Amino acid sequence: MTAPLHPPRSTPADRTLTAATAAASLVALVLALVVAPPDAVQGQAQRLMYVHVPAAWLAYACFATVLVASVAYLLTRDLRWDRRAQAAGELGVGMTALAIALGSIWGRPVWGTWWVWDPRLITTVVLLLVYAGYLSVRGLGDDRGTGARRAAAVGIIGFVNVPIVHFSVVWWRTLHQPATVLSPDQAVLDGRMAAALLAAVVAFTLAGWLVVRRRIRQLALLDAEPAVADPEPARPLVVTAKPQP
Amino acid sequence: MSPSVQVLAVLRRELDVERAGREVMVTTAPYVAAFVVLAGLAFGPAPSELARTAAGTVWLAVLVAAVTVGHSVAGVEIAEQSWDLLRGLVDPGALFLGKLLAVWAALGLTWLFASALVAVLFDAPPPGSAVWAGVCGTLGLAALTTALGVLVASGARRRGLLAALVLPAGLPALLAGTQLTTPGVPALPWAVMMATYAAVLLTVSWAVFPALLEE
Amino acid sequence: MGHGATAVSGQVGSDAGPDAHVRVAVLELAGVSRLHAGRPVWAPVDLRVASGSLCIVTGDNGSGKTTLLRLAAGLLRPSTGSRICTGRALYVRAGAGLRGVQTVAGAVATTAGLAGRRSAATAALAVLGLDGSATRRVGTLSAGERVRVTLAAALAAQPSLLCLDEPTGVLDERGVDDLLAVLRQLRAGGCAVLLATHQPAAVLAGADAHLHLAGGRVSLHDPVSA
Repeated sequence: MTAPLHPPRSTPADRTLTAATAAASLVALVLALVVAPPDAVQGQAQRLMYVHVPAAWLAYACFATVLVASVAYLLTRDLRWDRRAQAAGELGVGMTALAIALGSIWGRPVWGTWWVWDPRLITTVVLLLVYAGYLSVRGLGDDRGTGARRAAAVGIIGFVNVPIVHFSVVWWRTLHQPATVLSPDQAVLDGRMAAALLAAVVAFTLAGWLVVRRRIRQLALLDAEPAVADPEPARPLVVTAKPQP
Repeated sequence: MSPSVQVLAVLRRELDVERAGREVMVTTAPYVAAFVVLAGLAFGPAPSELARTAAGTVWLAVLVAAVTVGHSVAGVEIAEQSWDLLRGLVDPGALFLGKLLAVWAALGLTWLFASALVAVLFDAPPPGSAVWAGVCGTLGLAALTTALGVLVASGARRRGLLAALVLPAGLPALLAGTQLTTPGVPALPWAVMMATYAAVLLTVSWAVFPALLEE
Repeated sequence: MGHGATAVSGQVGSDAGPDAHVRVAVLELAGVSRLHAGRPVWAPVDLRVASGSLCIVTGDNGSGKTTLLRLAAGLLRPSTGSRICTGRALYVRAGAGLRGVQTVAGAVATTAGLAGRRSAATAALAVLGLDGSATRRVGTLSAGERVRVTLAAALAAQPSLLCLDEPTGVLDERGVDDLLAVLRQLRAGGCAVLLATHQPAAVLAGADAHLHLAGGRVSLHDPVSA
């Protein structure tokens, strides 16, 4: 693509969404850092939850979007669906990596280890691997549509496999260690903590929506077909068979 | 030409080519043998340790071998420039099923070979439920490998992606296969899990396969 | 000759011969184009190819011959327009298409078997004079011999449309004669042939039409005046 990419122009809907995201983020920050008390057991480290949980939620929402958009793309072959899938997939991979990294940093002081073989952690890592592959297959060929079809296939195979991966890991875990003690967010939350968490989830969702919208528009610019000058309408070409000697 | 005849023709072609070149056999069998021997060295030599890791060794070997077998689905065909003619002659559905049966056979034999080696070298005879794992697990992996083998091979670049895609998606086969091969583990839930895995992957791979063939 | 479409299209019916099958269009491309890296390879093409016809396709390197042939054979999806093809279409690039580890007889029989015509393999080998090398491995053959084996496989598979990409480049004089003989046999059975080549002189004489790709356009010429 030789033409410079202009940043997508903002629409009133964009401005509303941006304002809503900024407001929700501000509320979430105040609630998470000022209003919510530190955890009685975990101390300040528990505040990572207000980023870790929304990041994981947003990642799952993104991957569900990838599934829906991938199916829609294969059915309609409309590249708009592929752009939605790609934008959601990119954000989903980023959010999954963030959730895993924050979970690890949070787990270190709380569990005394960077990593535990917890079903949710394993499932999340498998998701990260599958969707990193999803993004990688886009660069396999030169044709835009071929890349989109391959990515859609991985988006579908990857997602329908996730529940099976999850249950198999849960059963496997149950077999080796009946009761899990590794889920701090399963405890009953203080009301202020719950409010901060809810605000953070809303802020992340709005911000994710905003990012995906802008990315979709940027991808649409990349996909824009150059105008083809075709002054002469094509005449039909007919090949017939002459009698053979 | 009926679809089933075409499926059998594709399978026959796969078997003919394998008989002529023994490509899958000479790459997979020594690989599995080396894998099992090295696993014995890594986890052993105490008999109790070997018995504990026997089931996992079998399924890890099968899963990793699936990546090697996956290159025979379309990667070798494209390298030899025979893929276009094959696509022209065979409907997508028959191509999928024919290739699937060939990969299933290859993975089934791989599983049998790995199981036999582990049973002897690790002195850990598998329980009866291991057979169900061998049948269903290799079917699920074969469906996955067939679809992803075509997906990755049709691009000239990033061949290593096949491993990156097959291995995480093969996780349920690894876990269920290991549990079904471990003596004393309740078999029913894992048998259902393995059958579900095979059915889901077979259905989804079948559904997306025609789109993968398009260029 | 700039654009010979009207001259050739005028022949529909009159020169089509008494056989019913030669009037039937095997391939119909309507407004078909293909984008490569976001740009069309050539302007949209409307093309009708009758059964039993031989059409030579020429053009410089990069003009889109292979794209047109692969698209005609159904291997590539058109970016715009529609493609209708009755029967089986095959695309064969020079001597490629068969597995190198198989013997000549095995590869031709296997390929014909995919079309449900395994029994036609022996006769096809005889037509191409390959009886003597039936037990040799395809991978050990010369480029010209490979073209012969591939042609034998295509002949045995009996497609409705055969798209041959550059088969002449590696053929000697006798090879070209054999190629023409195979094409006559295929066409007599109703198979339409699109043949892309950089040596059109050897094959134009027996052709029905000549497609030329240049400047992002596909044009049809009378093969005799070319």
